[in-house]
Amino acid sequence: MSVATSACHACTSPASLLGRGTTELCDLLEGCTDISVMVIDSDGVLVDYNSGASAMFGVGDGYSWRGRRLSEFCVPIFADAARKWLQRVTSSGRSIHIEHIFRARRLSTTISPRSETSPGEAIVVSNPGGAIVAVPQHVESVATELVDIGPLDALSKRELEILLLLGQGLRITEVSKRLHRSDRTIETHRHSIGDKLGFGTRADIVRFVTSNGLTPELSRQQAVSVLRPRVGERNSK
Amino acid sequence: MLVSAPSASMDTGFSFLGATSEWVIAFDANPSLGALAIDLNGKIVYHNRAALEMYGDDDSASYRGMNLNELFHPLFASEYLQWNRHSLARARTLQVDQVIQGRRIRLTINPLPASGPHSMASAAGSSLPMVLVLCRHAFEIAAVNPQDVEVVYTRFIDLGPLSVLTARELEVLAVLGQGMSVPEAAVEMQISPKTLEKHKTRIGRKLGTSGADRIVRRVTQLGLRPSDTKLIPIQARNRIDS
Repeated sequence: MSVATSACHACTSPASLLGRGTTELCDLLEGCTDISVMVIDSDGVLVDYNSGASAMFGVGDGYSWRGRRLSEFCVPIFADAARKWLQRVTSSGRSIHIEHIFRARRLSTTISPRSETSPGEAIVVSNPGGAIVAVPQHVESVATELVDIGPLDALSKRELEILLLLGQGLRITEVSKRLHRSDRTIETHRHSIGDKLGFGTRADIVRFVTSNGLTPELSRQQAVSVLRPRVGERNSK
Repeated sequence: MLVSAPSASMDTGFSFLGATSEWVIAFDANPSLGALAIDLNGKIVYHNRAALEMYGDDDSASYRGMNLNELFHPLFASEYLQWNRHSLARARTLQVDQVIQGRRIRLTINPLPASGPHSMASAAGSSLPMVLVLCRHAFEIAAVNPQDVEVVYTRFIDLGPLSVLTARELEVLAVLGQGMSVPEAAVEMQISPKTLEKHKTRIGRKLGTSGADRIVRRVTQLGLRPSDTKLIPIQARNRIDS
């Protein structure tokens, strides 16, 4: 028995016995806290997941998601979208790729069908960042309007716009020209952004926006909070 | 060509990670996460397309069947192989960052069980134990180090486009890239602000990146850290004649 297997409690859970191959990989990738691996069936029931999924989707270690539905954790609009993606993958046997913003961070998610052993299940792998190579021809690229800006929802629409522009490394004067405002107005907004989010300098803003892969057009999209609020409350206990 | 990679891997009878190739399908479809399976001797048994990009190649390349020491500089390859063997010997997951073409990539080296009912290694048609290496661009400011994972460090840095800089300029770039102002950086590096400004100007000329915030952005994208400048510069990739 490998350490990877013994290190994980997943192998002892009944649900994981249904998909040993998968569990083996969920176990194996238990050490990747920045890569989320989940096995979800076409009804949106979570079969298995690794520590990366807990870290990324914000549920504490002591709380098991196995056997639970996405709709219990996600707002209906997102759970519905996710179920459609899962059904598309499991029925067509084709993988899909989605680039989305989750809690103010760009994630790349690939949903692939499981094999003959578990036909109704899909493997969902997410990691921060965008695609670095072209999406393969046999993989369908899916766009989503659902943008979750997480803590950035404390900002006004204008502040968000300015945060994202400054975050690209633009100077104050470049931002003020683009938005037809004075430098002083932009500076005032910048201070307000800093106060709300705890950014002391412009460099902090650049680092945040860049490392999370955030781009200016996000300020024009409708923001949605993907997780139901009570998940966060449970987590904090 | 490699676009049809899932079927290609099935054609060769390659079944990896368990009784079926479901994980091959998942990795082949993934455009953001590099995956490689490497055996105990350093032979690359499997890789996906994102792995090619991580190591500076385009879609038309293939590493399959190649050994790490064919692909990489001997020192770089030997270090890589040692990590893989260490991971297998300890049956432990390792995490290590490499800098390739001036860009930080984070590797997680996972040992694959060599035997057992769901042996991944034997399913891959290899009698040798293997590791599964996952790599991604690491540009997070503060990545949490997971428990039960051993963090190891590389001795080398492949500077790529950053090799036009002098050692001092590289240091200035990395320090300014953390968001320090010129006076702060000058204190940090124990040089005069004026000298630092001169370096900054030369960096701007050489890289086309000027302005404090643009430097921060570039360095954040590359994942470059001040400590990286102490590593031994190396050209990681061998030229492959195809």
